[in-house]
Amino acid sequence: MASLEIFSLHPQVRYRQVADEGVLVHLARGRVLVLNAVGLHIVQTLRQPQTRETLMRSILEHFAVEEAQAAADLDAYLRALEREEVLLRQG
Amino acid sequence: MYFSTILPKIRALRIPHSVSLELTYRCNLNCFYCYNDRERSGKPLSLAQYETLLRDLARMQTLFLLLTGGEPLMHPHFFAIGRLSRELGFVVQIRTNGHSLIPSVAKRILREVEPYLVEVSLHGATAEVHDRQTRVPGSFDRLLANLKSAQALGLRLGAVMTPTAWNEHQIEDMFHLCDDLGLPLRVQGPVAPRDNGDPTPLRIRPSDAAWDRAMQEMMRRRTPSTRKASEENLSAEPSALCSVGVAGLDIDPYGNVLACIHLRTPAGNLHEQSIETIWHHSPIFQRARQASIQAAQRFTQEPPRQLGAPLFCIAVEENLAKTPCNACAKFTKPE
Repeated sequence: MASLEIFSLHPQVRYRQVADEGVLVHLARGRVLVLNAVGLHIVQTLRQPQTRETLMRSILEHFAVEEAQAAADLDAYLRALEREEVLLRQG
Repeated sequence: MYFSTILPKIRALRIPHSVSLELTYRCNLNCFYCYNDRERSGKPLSLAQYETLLRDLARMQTLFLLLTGGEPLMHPHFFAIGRLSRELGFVVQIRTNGHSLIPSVAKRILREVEPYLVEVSLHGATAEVHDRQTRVPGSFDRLLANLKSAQALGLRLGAVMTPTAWNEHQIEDMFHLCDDLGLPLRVQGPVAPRDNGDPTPLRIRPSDAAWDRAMQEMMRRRTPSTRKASEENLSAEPSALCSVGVAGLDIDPYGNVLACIHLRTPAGNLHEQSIETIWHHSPIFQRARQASIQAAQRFTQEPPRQLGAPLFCIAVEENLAKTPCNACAKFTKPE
């Protein structure tokens, strides 16, 4: 069954692309994070709120990766972003 | 990671990662050593031109945007520019003298601009010393009141000081004052000729020992993360003194695009060309970069020192060169 959870970026997050990587600043926490290519893609996709499934689909469309591996990596990454308060989860 | 891997990539790709907008040279204080050339004039950028500029910079992947002056809060479109900067995803920093940062203004800044940092200038630890520099009686007391109310509202604040002959006896007190207020205090300088070569500010050049004390106080307060950052930054690119020409630029109120806030030869003007065209085609940035690399080569054996400060700025050297020699002889020794 598809998850109804919606992920979105914290409103105090700012980021920019640097070649195939990214720099993210959390204004409230005063933290600067470096994003790898997949991380940058996820953050860019999260400009609009997304479900885990739409994020997953987007990763599989853009990167050559096995679905099982992508799912595990995505879940770990979303947890890491939540710990940094970069991500908001609703639903 | 940011300093060791991303910044070198930004420099290599020439991304204007940090941009400063000098919104106006108007100011409600009258600081003795202000570096601005107040005779400079031109056609100010319109709000529509700022909107185009900000959209172009966002597309060029500029992340850090400094709103400065003069006193940036005196620009008639400050809030419109600040709001659009927030909407376009810049990390906004505001550099102000703090005189206008009354609670109603601080509230609007927080709500509409959402800056990462508001940095204010501190010139002394007492009203007597601070107001002597600003030449506006009451400016110190007003600054402290504004800082306390802005902090209570939730603005992230910082302070910056320049050692001078007038405040050097209060350097430690200024750090203690900021400790009490819960503000980081950054040291900048040196006091140098104005951007037009006017050497008057050199009259209040501090002693070299004052600089050493200021740097010691600042180093003592470094956190492990800022210490690591500065070490990574140093090791990442030893070949140039700064990132001038490859990672940022400055835009003055009249649309002149500069390699750095103090290097006053324009690379182009926004009334005539887009920022993208100027950034990618003007030779001024490459010249500034070369000057920074050449200057670094002078300090391979010993650390830089300029006008007593433990640093070297190619723009200060350029302004010193504009200064009449007799003025240099008169002013470059502390009184």
